[in-house]
Amino acid sequence: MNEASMALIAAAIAVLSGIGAGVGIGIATGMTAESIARQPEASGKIQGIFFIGVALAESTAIYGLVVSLLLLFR
Amino acid sequence: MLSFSVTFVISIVNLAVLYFLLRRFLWKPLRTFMNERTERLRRETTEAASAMMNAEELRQRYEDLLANSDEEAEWVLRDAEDRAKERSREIIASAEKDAADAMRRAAEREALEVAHARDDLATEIARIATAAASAVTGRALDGDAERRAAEEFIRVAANMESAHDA
Amino acid sequence: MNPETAEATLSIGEKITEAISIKTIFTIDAFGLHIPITETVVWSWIVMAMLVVAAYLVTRRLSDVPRRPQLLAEAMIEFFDNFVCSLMGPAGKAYAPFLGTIAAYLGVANLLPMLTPVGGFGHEPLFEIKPIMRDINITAALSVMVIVVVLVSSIVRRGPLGWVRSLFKPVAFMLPFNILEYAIRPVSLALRLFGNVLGAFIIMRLIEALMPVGIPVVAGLYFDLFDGILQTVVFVYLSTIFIAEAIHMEAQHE
Repeated sequence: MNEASMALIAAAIAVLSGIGAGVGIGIATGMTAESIARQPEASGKIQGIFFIGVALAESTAIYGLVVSLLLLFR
Repeated sequence: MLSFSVTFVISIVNLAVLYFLLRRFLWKPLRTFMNERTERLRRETTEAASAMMNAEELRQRYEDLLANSDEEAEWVLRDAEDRAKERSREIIASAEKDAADAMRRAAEREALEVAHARDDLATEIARIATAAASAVTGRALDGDAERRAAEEFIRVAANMESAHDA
Repeated sequence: MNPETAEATLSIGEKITEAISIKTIFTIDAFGLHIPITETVVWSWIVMAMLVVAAYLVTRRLSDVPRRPQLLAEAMIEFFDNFVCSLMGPAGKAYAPFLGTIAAYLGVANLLPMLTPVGGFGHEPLFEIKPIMRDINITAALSVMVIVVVLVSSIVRRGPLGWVRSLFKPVAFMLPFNILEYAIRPVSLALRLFGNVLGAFIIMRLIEALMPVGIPVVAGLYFDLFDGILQTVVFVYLSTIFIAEAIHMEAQHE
């Protein structure tokens, strides 16, 4: 196996970080919907927290994507 | 791909320039303008509210005046009515009195006229009786004594008549 | 793998590699320095010029009964002031122009690629606007500016000593993490924007290469329009929250 093929496989593995981000964002969204349904008057604050949480969860996926892009287009 | 270059520095300068330009040309004039407009609107609204309050006060006063005048008018009316009633009563009373007077006077006049008529009648009857008596006796009864006797007789007859009537 | 497919795959990969590379348009030689001006910088200047000219045209004549452009500008300003103040309190008014500048710049820069004419059918589009934010230098510049504002406003707000004390809160053990936060935040801001834009760009290129007709329009609606707006909102929202945290902590702890 040459270096290019290994880089391709590594890129594929790096992009797996998207799984975690997907699960995390799903949980965050579900919880947000639940808490807004329970307390609609606090929806502004909840949305703020939701945004931060989703952004943080998403950044892992983005790191994976960046790493795989680095591997693909060296 | 992930290589840093002088583009980084250029971008920071770019953004700083953009920030100052937008603040100068977008934020400052718009904010000043909007604040001034809000201030002016608030002032005008306050003025309008005070003007409205003045108008309301005036209206209230006018309405009070109207209500008072209603009362006054009613009072005047009632007074006039009272006075009119009294006056009418007076008029009626005086009219009744006048009528009664008139009736009394008419009755007096009638009585007087009846007395006159009776006197006239008595005189006429006396004259006729005298004439008749003179015709019967064949001589003129022109002596005072005879005529007086005839008149006496007639009067007695009339008195008997009236007594009988009564 | 037969040779033909390999050839085709290679050509797609080469195309994408060519597409995401950033070309240098010209070089300024001044004061003994060679300053390369890349195409992303040129496009940044174009975006800046558009924004400044639009702002100048709108605010040149302001009238009591606003016409449409002025109405739009007023609504945007008002919305932004309210949004920033709702997260920061009354102190937010001072930061609204800065965050608004970032929002306007990012929004126009992210939506500009939509103006690229549709290609396909074997001919290249007339001209092409590539997303500016595929250059890590520019996203890094944005996030570094944000973190500098966060740092400076935190220090100004509580004084140098108070700021140092705030690094030891809630417990002294948190010191390295609090310091790390100042490094991680700009990195994650920059990489998020860069990764999202570049990822969307590459995926669009792949879709266009595999299926030139129909699908790219629909996918472009998501990747160019929705993702462009979303990344702008996320970047500005996170920046606002970082600044709000920097100037609010004091009230919470004392």
